[in-house]
Amino acid sequence: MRLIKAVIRPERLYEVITALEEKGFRGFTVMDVVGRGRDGGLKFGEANYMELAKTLLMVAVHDEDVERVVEVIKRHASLGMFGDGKVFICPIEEVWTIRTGKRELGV
Amino acid sequence: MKELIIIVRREKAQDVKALLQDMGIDYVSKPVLGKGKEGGFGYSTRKGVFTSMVPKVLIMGWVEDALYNDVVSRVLSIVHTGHYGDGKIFVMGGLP
Repeated sequence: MRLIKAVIRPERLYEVITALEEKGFRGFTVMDVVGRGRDGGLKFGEANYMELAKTLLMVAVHDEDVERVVEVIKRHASLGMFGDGKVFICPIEEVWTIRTGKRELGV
Repeated sequence: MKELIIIVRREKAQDVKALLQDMGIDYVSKPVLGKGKEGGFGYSTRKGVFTSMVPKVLIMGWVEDALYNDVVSRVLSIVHTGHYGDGKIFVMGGLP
């Protein structure tokens, strides 16, 4: 399994979630984060924004579904401008469902 | 070392944090929102059926290889209620 961590614009979150649910990926976790990218924040004359508000969307999926989920996120989170965010894909070794107490899936 | 990402009910978070502290494991925690496999908390109104995200607490920490089996089983025993929404534990391999 893979954990897909997508840092996206907060205003695009619900669009991405709706699209993921339509494709059948219903589980996810969301948190609000601040950070900056390669451009080092934003600068408008005097005003200097060192950190920008983003939303971190985490989806755990099977290996064969990674491409589809990344495709959905790319299509729906993108405005084609700086600050659209990043998608990180991390390997998961084990997943435990606490309700059943069972290890669901290995690598 | 392994990275543990534990997502639990809000009311159980203090117990998990106390356990990790007892075992000498450093962690960070943050309130998060999300939906599980069941698709979140559903409710129906006159305008239709809606689902909303459920608040949880995410606890993230790094654990020694020798210790992590123990941590997982003890967290499971603390947090387990047997109902939907108990949460997940993700174990991710770190650097050797």
